[in-house]
Amino acid sequence: MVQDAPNGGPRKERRVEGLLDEERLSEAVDFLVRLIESVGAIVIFVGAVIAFVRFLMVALTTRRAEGFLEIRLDLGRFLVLGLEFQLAGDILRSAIAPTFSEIGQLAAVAAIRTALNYFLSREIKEEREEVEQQHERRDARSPA
Amino acid sequence: MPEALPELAPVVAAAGLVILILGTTLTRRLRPTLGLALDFFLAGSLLRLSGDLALQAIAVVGLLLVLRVLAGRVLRSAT
Repeated sequence: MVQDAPNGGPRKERRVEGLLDEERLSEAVDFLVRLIESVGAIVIFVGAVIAFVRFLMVALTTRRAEGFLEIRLDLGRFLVLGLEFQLAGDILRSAIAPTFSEIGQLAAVAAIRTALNYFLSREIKEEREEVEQQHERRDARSPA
Repeated sequence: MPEALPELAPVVAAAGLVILILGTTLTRRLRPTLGLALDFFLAGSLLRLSGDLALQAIAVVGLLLVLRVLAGRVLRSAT
């Protein structure tokens, strides 16, 4: 950036230009946040598509509601993974959040995502145990 | 590309609605179908939140989170 010096001649601004320039840093972080959040959103969408296809297969062929639990478990895994990416984006965004209202919104979103992540992980663990019990019962019923 | 992703949120939510109707009709059981449909609604809200930091969107996700936790507990105690 070039500014006029008091004596009339051009003078380079004292601010360090380059990697640590605030504007460039802000642009770079903004780009990375969008990239990471997009990856998270893609993971969630792909998980939803896979779960929907599996639901159609189970519902139309076997018509057994027990199969829904496994689909829900896998969808939950995709949601947790997508949320992890979006949390990473939130953490990165906190580096360039300038106003108090933006920081407040960021904190609310991060808190919701963290809580969701915690509850989803807990439910996945419980549902996994339930699915394993179902498999064990099915194995015990079927002849060896 | 990133701007287009939150627009997929209604598609995922609609898939949840299809699951709720089709699943209940075909299996004649509401509870397991409701759990799966609720996850789809949650996925839709999360997709929307990825492009919108508005308080309204945050509130919807928070509400769905509470519903999901409650539904999970009720479904588990009922089955």
